[in-house]
Amino acid sequence: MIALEGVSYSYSPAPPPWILKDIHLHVFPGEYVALFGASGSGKSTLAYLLNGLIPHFFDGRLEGKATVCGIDVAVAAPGCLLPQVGLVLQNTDAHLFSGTVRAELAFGLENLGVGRREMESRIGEICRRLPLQHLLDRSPHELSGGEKQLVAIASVLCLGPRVLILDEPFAHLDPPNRNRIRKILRSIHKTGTTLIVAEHLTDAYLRDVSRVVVLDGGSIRYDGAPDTCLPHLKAAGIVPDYSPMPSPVPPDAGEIVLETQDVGFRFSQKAVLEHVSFELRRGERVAILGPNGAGKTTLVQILGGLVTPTHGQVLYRGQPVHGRPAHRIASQIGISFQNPNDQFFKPRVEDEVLAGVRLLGAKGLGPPQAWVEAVCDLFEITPLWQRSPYRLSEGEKKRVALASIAAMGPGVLIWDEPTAGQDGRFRRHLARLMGQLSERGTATLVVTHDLAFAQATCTRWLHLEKGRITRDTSLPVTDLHTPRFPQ
Amino acid sequence: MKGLDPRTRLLLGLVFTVTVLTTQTRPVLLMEAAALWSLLVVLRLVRSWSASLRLTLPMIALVFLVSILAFDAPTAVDLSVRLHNLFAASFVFFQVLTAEELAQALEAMRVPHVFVFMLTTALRYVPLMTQKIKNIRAAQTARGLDLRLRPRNIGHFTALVVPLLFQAFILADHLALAMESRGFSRRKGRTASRLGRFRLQDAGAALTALLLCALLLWWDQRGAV
Repeated sequence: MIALEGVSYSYSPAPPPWILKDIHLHVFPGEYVALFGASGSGKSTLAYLLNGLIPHFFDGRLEGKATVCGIDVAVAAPGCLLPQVGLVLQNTDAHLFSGTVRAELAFGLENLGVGRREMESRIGEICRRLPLQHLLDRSPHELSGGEKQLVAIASVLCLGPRVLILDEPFAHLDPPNRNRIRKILRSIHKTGTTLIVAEHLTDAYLRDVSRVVVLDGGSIRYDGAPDTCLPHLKAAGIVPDYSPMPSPVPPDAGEIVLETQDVGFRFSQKAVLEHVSFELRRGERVAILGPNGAGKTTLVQILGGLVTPTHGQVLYRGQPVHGRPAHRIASQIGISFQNPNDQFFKPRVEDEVLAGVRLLGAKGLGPPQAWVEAVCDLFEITPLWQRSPYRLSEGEKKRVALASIAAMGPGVLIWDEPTAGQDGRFRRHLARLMGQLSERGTATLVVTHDLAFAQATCTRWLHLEKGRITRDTSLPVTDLHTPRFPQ
Repeated sequence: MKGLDPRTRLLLGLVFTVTVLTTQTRPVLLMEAAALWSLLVVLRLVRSWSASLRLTLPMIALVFLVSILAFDAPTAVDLSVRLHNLFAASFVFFQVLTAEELAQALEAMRVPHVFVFMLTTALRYVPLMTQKIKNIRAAQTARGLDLRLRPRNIGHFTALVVPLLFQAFILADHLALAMESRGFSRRKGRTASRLGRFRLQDAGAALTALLLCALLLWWDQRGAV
């Protein structure tokens, strides 16, 4: 089905750097392959090669021979490979560009020149299989993350590909939606479609795959059965090997830094949050867990003073947060949102990291210079100092974004999905950073779907469901280092 | 209205917008306003129109204020009513014609697919970009930047614009990949999933609308006497 013989690829016409290095890979009909790799390992590049985007869409240099369904990708453009190979991109917002789900499903079929009756029949069949009928007339922007992923898969499946490639389909989904997509992929595989899932999340879906390929630095590090891949996943920085955390609570803990008192929020007459009360102590590491739509993001925005609650209040060291100027809140409660690109507006990392610090300095609220230097050391930012934040890898971007918030010296740090889309190496690094900040007295609140990260780093979990805290617990220390990988 | 062919709805929207822009006399402008409000009631759009007035009313008020200072009260009333009519006509137009239907109408009118695709894709991404602006605003405010609309905050708005532009470029790049992956470049033999049918009711609606607008224009030309 797929044959790669000594394939190397560089996005530069005059390499190095090579993103793929001397890849030899044969995939047979009906296989379900999990393609693992840390950020920058070449997973997406390989996916682009298999559907012909490389070399036809990118001006790079391809060496070796790559054939898919007997077609040489160097000769056939993506349009020619289309009926054979379907690619679901990582960014579903880009993948779903039509006004309605129905138009989205029809787009590829229209380009293939499929007749209207045949088109309706294919769309109808896919909608029954997945099932999607109830979404057909909705706009993609109204869909949840899981629904978007489902529609993206359907838009490619309509074309009847023999090989279906998915680029990080689980990266931004919560556990229930991951399970949903997993089941659908399993059913697609049962129909005889060859599946290739490029991921760096190792989850329950690994039980379904027939083969694992691990990419490391552009080369294949492992190609074999799923049950013997764990050491290779750890060595390639895909599965984080969390180090034991420092003492969960610093010795001088006890002082309450952040307190929510019966916080509620209503939007369009609907209760988004109700009776949310908890305390956060100095140096504490707390995880907020819950499914999508539980109200986690709203809670984060309320804690940071960005949204005013319709009921109750938030206190920082006993003083109400809301009603204060933005810079004053930022000096006490730092929030780093999921997408680091939302933050960057300076040409150099140095300016980006120091933007908040300088702003606070101008208002007489600047943190001590020693703290800023310590944060830069902790986050290992100094080597990136002169680079443009836009040109960093995803992991580096995240590190710079988190450092720019931490450098402002807040007593409370709130991290919204800090591990989403990040590889194991980064997650391990982040866990270590969290421990070090905690030792220095910074309380951290992590909103995450990554249960393994929460388990490895946090001393307390708050479970948010339908706008209410349904569980507030401290984990026994013995449970802190359970590996994520399914045994 | 939804039962009409998208081309008919597009034609009705264009004809009425041109009429609103062309007419000048107060009775005609008021008649148009009354017709638009009746349409809003019939189409059950009053609630959503009222919500959108939060944005449009300040602009209408500004036009009224500037006109009353620059000209006189009657001119200010006429200009404000005309602006209101223009907003209301556009609102009704976009409520009864989705981006997909607009694309369908334009393609049926033989507008090249590439241009239609550009238009519908741009419309598709308006809500996404609005959400991105909200996210960027939240992220920058959380860093202490005051992004409220105040003259002293003008310098801070680069923190809003730069990330937005950067993300728009990334999105455009990914969008191109997604389009190519599903055969956008295969122009030959492209088919359409839906074709509109121009029926008798479309002809009736188009003729009635053209007649009414012609009457309004004629009345306006005669000074609305």
